[in-house]
Amino acid sequence: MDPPQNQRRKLLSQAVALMVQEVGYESGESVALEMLTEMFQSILTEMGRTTRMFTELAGRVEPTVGDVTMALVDMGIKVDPVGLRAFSRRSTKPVIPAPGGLPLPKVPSILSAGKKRPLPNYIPDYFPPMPDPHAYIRTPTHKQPLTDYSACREKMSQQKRDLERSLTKYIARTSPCYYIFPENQSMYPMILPKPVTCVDPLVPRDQIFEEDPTPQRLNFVRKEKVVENLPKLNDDDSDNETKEGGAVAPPAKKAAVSVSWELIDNPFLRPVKPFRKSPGKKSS
Amino acid sequence: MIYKNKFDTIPEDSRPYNTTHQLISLTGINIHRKSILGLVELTIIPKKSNLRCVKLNVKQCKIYRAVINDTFEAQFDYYDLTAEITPLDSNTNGHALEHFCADHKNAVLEGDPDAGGGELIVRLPQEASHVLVEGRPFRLTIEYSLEKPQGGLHFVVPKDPTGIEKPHMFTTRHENSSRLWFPCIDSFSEVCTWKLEFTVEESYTAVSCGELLEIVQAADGSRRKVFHYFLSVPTAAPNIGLAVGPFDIYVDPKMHEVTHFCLPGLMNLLRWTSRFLHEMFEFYEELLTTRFPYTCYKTVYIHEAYEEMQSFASMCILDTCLLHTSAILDQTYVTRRFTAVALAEQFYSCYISIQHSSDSWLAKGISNFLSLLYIKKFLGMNEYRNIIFTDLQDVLKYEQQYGGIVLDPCMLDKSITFAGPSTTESNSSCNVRPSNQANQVPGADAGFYFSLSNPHTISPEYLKVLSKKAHLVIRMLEMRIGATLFIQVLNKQLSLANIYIAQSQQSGMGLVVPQAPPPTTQVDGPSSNTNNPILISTASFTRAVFNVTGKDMTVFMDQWVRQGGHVHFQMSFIFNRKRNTVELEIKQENLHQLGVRKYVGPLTVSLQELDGTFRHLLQIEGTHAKADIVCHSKSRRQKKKKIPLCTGEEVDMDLSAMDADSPVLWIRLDPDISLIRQTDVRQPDFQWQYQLKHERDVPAQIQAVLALEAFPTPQTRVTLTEMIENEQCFIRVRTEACYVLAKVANAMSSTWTGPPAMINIFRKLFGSFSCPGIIKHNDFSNLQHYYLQKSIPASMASLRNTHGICPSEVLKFLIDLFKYNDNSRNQISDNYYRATLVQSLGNTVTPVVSLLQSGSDITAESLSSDTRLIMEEITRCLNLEKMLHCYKYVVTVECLKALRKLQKFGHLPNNVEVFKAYAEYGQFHDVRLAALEAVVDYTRTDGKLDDAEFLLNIVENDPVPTMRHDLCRLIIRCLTEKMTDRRPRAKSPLHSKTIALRIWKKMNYECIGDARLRCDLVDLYYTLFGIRKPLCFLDDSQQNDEAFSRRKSALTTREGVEEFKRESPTIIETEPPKTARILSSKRESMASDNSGDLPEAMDIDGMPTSFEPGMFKNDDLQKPRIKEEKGAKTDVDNGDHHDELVESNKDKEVRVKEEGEEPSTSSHKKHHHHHHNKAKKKKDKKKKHKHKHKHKHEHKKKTREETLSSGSSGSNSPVQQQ
Repeated sequence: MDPPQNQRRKLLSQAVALMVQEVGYESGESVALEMLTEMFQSILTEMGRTTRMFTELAGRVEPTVGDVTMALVDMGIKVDPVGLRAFSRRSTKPVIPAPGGLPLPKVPSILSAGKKRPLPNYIPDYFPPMPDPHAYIRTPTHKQPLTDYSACREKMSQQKRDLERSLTKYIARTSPCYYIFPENQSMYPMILPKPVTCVDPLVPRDQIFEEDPTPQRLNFVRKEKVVENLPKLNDDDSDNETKEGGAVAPPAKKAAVSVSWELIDNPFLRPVKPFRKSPGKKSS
Repeated sequence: MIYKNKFDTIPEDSRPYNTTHQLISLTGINIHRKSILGLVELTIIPKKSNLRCVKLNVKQCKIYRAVINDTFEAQFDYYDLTAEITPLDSNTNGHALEHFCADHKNAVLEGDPDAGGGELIVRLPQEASHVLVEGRPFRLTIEYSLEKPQGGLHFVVPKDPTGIEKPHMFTTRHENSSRLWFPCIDSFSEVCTWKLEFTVEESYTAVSCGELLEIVQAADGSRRKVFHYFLSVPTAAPNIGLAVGPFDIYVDPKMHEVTHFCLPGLMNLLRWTSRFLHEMFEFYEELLTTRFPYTCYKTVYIHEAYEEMQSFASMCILDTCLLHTSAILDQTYVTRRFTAVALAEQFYSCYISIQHSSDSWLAKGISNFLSLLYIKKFLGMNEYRNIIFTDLQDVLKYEQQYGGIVLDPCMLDKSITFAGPSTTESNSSCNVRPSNQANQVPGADAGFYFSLSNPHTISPEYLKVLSKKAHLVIRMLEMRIGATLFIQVLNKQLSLANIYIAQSQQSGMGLVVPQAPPPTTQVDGPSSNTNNPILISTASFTRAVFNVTGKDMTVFMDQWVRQGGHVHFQMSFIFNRKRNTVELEIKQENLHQLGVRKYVGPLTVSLQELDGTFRHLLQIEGTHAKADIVCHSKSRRQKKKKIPLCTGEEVDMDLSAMDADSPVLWIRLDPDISLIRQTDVRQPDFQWQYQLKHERDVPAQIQAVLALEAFPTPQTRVTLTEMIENEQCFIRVRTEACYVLAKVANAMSSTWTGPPAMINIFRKLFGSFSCPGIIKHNDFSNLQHYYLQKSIPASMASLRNTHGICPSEVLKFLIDLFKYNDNSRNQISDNYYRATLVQSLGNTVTPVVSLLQSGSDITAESLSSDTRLIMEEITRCLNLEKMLHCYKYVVTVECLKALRKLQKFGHLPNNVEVFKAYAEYGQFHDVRLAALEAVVDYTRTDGKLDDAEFLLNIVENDPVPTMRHDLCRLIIRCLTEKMTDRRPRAKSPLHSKTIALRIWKKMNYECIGDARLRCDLVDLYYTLFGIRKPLCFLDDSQQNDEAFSRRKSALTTREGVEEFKRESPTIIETEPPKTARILSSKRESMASDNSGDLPEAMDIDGMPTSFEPGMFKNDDLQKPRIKEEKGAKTDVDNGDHHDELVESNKDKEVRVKEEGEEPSTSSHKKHHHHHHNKAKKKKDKKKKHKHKHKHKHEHKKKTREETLSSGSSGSNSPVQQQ
C-alpha cells in the first residue's frame, strides 16, 4: 500500500476508535476495530458516490446539503438534523490531530532549473510545492550568452583544450605509445611517430587557410580576342570557359570578347614526337 | 699582365688537349634499381702532335669500353686512389689524422684534372695515330654503367606502397663531382658545349641543362621517351645536372622560358613560392645590364636534397622544404635568399666559370654579393646590414676557432711546392708577420688539419664559412672601387663572355663534329685558357678591375684573399678636457690568437659629437696606434639644441646622462664594415646607451645592445625597454634587446623591482583590451609585432630569480599563452609561434636542486608541480602533432628539445628510446635532427657504446646523404660547444677505440662517392681524437703518459689547437713582470694534483683569463671585457675555476720544461702535434714559455688602462679586478 492510503486508513481507524471510546468501550480487539473501520469506509465511500450522483443528476458540480441528505436517505439512514447538530456540538468532542505531512523528497539543487512558482491560493499549504517549471511548462534550451570577455576566452580555450585532450587521449589509447613512467601509463603517454611522406611536412593540417581562389588553368595563357558578334560557334568551349574563368568571362551571346586558353609554348609541354629514323641521331 | 701566377702556365702542361663538345646519352635509367647505363662521347682536340693518352675523371662507374671515332678500341687504366687513402701498415701512427691528411691530399690530387690527374687513363692506340693530329678533333666514346651510387646521383625510392611519394633521382654535387656519374674532365676550367640525351619511363620527366630540343619516343618501341637537350653555352662538366622524376610541370606565367618542377601534390606551394621569380630576373638583368645568359631556366624541387640549393647551368635543384604557402612567414626569408643566390649563380659560377678550384671564392663571393643586393632592394637596408653583420660574426667565430680562412689558397700551395715558406713571407704586404703567418706556412694546411689544395679535402664547414667571407670581401672590394664601377667590372666580364660565346658559335662549332678549329685554341694560341673570358681567376679578376677602374687591387687581394684571418682592434679613449681632443688608442694585441692577423692601413673612426657625426680616417701603422682627434664641438650643457646624426636628421636627446665636459656621444670603429674585423670598443655605458638609442645603423645598434649586457644598471633597463617599445627601430635590434634585457634582469635580480621584465610590454602590445592578462587573437599582419610576440616569451623564459630558477610568474605567463592562444582569425600560421612557446617552456627548466635525485629514481609521483605543468603542455602539443601537424613539424622539433632538457636537468628519467624512435629514417628531416641532437647529448654525458654505435650507424648507412652529413656536423657541434653544466664528465663512449676504428674505416675506405662525408668524418675524427694517434689506441700505461702530455688534444682538440697557437712564438719581449712569476712559482707546487680531472679544467678553459680564443666560442659577441666583468661580478664560481685553469696552464708549463730536458719521444708530441715544421720544434718550446708570461703581462697592463679611461670619462662602470 502506498503511503497516502496508509495515512488515510490510519486517520479513519483513529476516528472509529475514538467514537467507540466515546460510546463507552475501553478496549477493543484489533480485528474488530479493523472491521468497523472497513465498514465506516464503505459507508463513507458509498455516501460520497451517491451524493455525487445526486449532484450530477441535478446538473451541478458541487454538492449541496440536500444532495447529502438525499444520499443518506437513499442509503436508508435516518437523518435527524437536530440530533446531528447536537452531536456535532457536544462538549466532549474528541479531536484528532491534523495529519503531519510526509517530509518531501529533497530535490538536488543541481537538477532544479528555473524558479519554482508559489502555490495558488486555492491549494492548501500542506500540499507539496509546485515542481520546477521545466517539468511542466518548458525547458529552456539555451543560456543567456556570456558577455564577459575574459570568461568567454577562458571558456573557449577550455573547450578547445578539452577537445584536444580527449582526441589525443583517444589516439593514445589506440596506437603505440612511449611511456615516460612505464609503471604509470596514464601519465604523459607519447604517441610514437609514424613515417611521413615528403609531402606531409609541407602541407600542414593544423589549420586550413584559404588558398588564393584562382584555380586558373596552369600552363595556359588567356587569350582575349575581340570578335564581331558571333552567334554560337562552339557551345562546349564557352561552357568550359564559364566554369574555369569564373565570373570574369561573361558568356553572353553578344559578348564582344571571346576568351580562349592556349597552352604556353614551352618545350616541356609539347607532345612527345614519334620515333623517327634520323641519321643524325645516335642510338646506343 | 699585372699579376702572374702559376695558372698562366699549368693547365696546358697538364692537359695537352681540349674538349670542345661532349655528349651524354643515358639509355638505361632505372630508378628502382638505382642504376644508369649509358655512354659519353667527348670531342677532343689534341694540342700536340703525338698524343699518347687522355686522362679523364670517373669514379664508382663501371667502364665497358673506350672507342676512338667509333672504330678504334682503346685500352684504358682505371683506378681510384681515393678508394683507400692510407694503407694500413704496422706503422705505430697508423690511425693518426696527420698521416691521413697528407695521404688524402695526395690521393685527391691524383684525380684532380687541374693538377694533371685523372682516374681513367685512356691509352690512344697506335693504329689510330692518323686521326690524332694536332688541332684536329677526334671522338672518344666511353660506355659505362653505374649502380647504387654513393654520391653524384641520388635515387629516392620510397618504400611506402601508398604511392604518395614518387620515386625520383637527381644529381648531387659537392664542388666538382660530376665524375661520380659520367666520365668527363671534371674541372671548372674545361668548358665545352653539351648534348644530353636521357631515356626515361613514360611518366617521368628528365630535366637537365640547356635547351630541351624535343621529346621523342624511344627507338626500341617501348613507351619510353627520350629527352634531347642541347647546351650551346660552353660549360664546365661540374655544372651539368640532371633530375628525373614524375614531376608536375609549371610554366612561369610571367616568363614562359622559366619552368618549375615539383613532385606531385605540391603545386599550390610551388605557385606561391615561385611567384616573385620574375622580379628577381628583372633585378639582376637591370643591375648587370646583361640579359640572362641562358635561353631558359628550370627549377626542380626534389625530396632528400643534398643541399638546399644546387645550381647547374640553366637549372637549379632545390629542396622541397623550401616550398611554402602564403601562410608561412619565417620560411619566406630563407627561401627568398636561396632562390636569389641560385639565380645569381647562373651568372657567376655557371655561366662565368672559374679557372681553378682555388678561385671558387670569386664565384661564390660574387653570386652571394649579387643576391644580397637583391635582398637589400627587396627586404631593405636594415635586413641587408644585419645579414652582413651576422655573416661577419660567423666568419670571426670560425676563424677564431679553427684558423684564418684563405679565400684563394693557390699561393699557399705554390710556396710549398716551389719556393718554400720564404716566398709567402716576402709576398705578404705586412712587414711584421705575427705568429699566424707562421701557422700558415708549415703545410698546405695553413694550420688546418685538412689540406686546402683541393675542395675535396676541405672541411664542408670551412667551405660554408668561406662563401660568407667571400661575399664580405667582394663587398669590401666594391666599397674600395665604388659601387657603379664594380658593377661595370662585372658587366664588362659578362659582355666579354657574351661576345666570346657568340663568336665561338658563329665560327661554326657544330653539334657533334665541329668543323672549324675550336674556339679555345682560336682566340689566342696556346695560352688561351687564361684569357678565356668565361673563366675567371683571382688574377684575371684583379686585371679586370684594373682595366675598368685603373685601380690596382693587388695589395688588397694579397691582404684579404691570399691570406687568411681577420683583424682585431681594441679601442679605448680618453677625453682631454683642456685640448678638447679625444685621445684614441687602437691596439691589436691578439695577434697570436687563432685567425687574427695584423692590419696596417686606413681605418675609419666615426665620432658622434653634439654637433654632428664626424668621420676620421686614421692610418694604422702598428699594433699600437694612437691618435688625437680634435672634437668639433664644445660641450654644452645648458643650450637645448637638436643633434644632427649621420643620416642628416636632427633629433632631441636627453643629455643628462653624459659627461658634462665631453661633447662625445659615442665612437665607432670602421662603421661601414669595410674590413673583416672584430672591434672591441671601450666606452662608458651611457655612450652605449646613446649609440643604441640614436645611431641609425643596425650593426651599431646590435653591438650596443650586446655591449650593454655588461652594465646591469637601471639606466640600461630603461634604455633597452625603450628600444623594445620603439616602433621605429629595426626588429632584429628589438628582439636582440629582449634577450639582453633578460640577461640584465638576471644580473640585477636582487634589486629588480616590479613584475618580471618585459611582461608589461608584452601585455601592452598583445594583451586584449579589457583584460591585459589574456592575449589577443593572433594577428600576424604586423611583421614587427609577430617577431616581438615570438621573442619576448622566448627571452622571458631565460629570466631567473636570485635562486637561479625561473620565477613562477613567468611559467604561469607562458602557460597562459598556451592556453589562450587562438589563431582562428589569422591568415598566417602560428606554427613558429607555438614552437617558440614550447622552446620557451623548455628554457624555463633549470637543473634540479635536490641532491638525492640522480636520474634513475624519478617516479611519476616525485615530479614537481612545475614539471607536471610543462609536461602536460609538451605531451599535448607532441601528441596533437600526430594528427594535426603543422608546417615542417616545428612544434615537434621544439618538443623534443624541451624533453631532452627536462631529462638532462634531472626532472625526468634519462632515457633516449623515444628520441631513437624519432630519429628513424622515414621521419621528417628536421625532426630526426632534433631527436639525434638529443641522442648525441645523451651519449656525450651518459651514453653507452651502444648509443655511440647507433649514431655511427646513421652516419655510415643512412639512406639520405644529407642526414649523414648533418649528423656529423651535429656531433661535432655538440662536442665542441661548451658544457653548460659543470658536471664532472667521464670520457664519452664516442672516444672509444671501437668508434675510432669505425670512423677510420669509413673515411679511409668507404667514402669514394661522397667527398663531403669523408671530410665531415675527418672533422669528426679530429674533434674526437685530435690530429695524432688517438689516445684510445694506446694501452693503459701509455695512455696515462699521453694524457699528461696531450692534455687538450685528445678529448677536445680544438682547444688544444688554440692553446698551441696562442703560445706559438714570435713576439719575444720583456721579461714577465714579477707578479706573474710569483704566481707561477706558487702554482708549480700545486701542479700535480689536478692532473686527474682534466675535463673539468677544459670546460672552464678560457673563461677568466684575458683574450683567449676560447671565450668567443659560444657567444656571438665579441667583448672579452664584458665577459670578464660579468664573470667576475655574477658568477661566483669563476674564481675557483680560474685557479684551476691557472694551475692547469702552469702544469703544462712545468711539463714543457721537463720535456725539454728529457728526450722521451712520446711526451714530445703533445705541444707539437699541430706543428708541421719540425725543425722549429726546440726553439718554439722556449719561446712558448716566455710568451706565456708576456701574455700575462699584457693583460695586467690592459686592466690598468681600462681603469684609467673609465675614470677619466667619469663613468661608474665596474672595473674588473683579477
